[in-house]
Amino acid sequence: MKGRQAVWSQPEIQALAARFVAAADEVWRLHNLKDPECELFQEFMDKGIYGDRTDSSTRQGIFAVAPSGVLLADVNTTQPGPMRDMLTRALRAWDALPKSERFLPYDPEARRAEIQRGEQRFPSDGVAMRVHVRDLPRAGQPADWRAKALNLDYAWFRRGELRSVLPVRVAKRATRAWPAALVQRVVRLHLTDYVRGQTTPHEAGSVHAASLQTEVLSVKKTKVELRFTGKAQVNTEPWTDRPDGSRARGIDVALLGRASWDPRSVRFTEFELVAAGQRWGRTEYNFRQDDVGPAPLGWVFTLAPQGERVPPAALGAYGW
Amino acid sequence: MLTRPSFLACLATLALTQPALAQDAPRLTERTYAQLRDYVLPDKEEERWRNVDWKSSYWDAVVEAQKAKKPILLWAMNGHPLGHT
Repeated sequence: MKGRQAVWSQPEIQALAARFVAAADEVWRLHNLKDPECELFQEFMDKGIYGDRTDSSTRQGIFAVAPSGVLLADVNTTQPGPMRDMLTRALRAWDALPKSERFLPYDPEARRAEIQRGEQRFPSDGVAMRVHVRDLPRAGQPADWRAKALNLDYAWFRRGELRSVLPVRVAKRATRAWPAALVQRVVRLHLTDYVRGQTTPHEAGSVHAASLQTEVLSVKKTKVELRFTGKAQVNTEPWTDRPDGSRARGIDVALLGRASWDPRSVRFTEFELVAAGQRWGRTEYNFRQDDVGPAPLGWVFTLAPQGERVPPAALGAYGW
Repeated sequence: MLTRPSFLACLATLALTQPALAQDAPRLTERTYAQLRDYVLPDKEEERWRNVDWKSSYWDAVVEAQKAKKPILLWAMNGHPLGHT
């Protein structure tokens, strides 16, 4: 996550990256599963920086490879210097690699059907949203990347689910409570603290209060304006794996949002949902060991650009 | 609209004048809605990493690189690097 700003935002790195076909992907699946995509990754993953660390539980890194799977160079860094060096070495290795070793001996498109990925579970009528999360201003923020840390997840909705948040009769001042299951999913899977790194969903039993309501503000032939209001209170059982006195984790937040619904195309043309309030506690990998709060946190849901299909981190818990 | 630095300055002033409120979240209301939304969302600078034309799967890159006769740059992380990582 740090690498987004520290490395990939640098013009010099971007110019080098443009000489490759660039991809970003989740590594656990590539490292552990069996399909043509994963197996090609597994052919090179231990030939560079992991060569003497094959007992590592992860294969995170930045890999430059030929389409054939020949490793050109790799690195695991959030610093632009080592990245520039790795990309430069990789381009030299590519130039030196015989053409006969550069490419797969088959058309990789022909094997796509053998590959199972989360993106394939996106509903045919689905709507994807970006969910940004950031610490809100407070005294005593550390004077480093953590002060402005920002992260992103995706939330997916079926069109029918979004239709279900509209009042049955769409008229000014009409209201409708969101279905409980949908509110639970939004709160448990998406109002989590991943500002600094990965975290896990809130457990089902930890949601003490959660509600969202839609109110119709205005109705026109082509546009229905809506407001969302709600709240969520979550407190999870204590994190007991660690001996450092880690506390329970939870949130106490208000939700407020705005949207425009087009009755003709039966879809949202604008959608924003903001959640803000307190968070506390931590999980194993979210880098809150020195910052368990309570402290203020905010999330913003917005419609993702057309075609953006990165799966939600907690897609497995959607029950789809 | 308050910019992120000016919003931060307001909060810092609040923290100095009312220490007991320093850890209190700014309350989300109709009045603060736009400020909080804009504070959380990335600014232009924070979106520059998207200038790289990222494919969201390794195989998409393999397919294109095979056609374009180019090498592949793969950013592989725990959690999808274009999302929750």
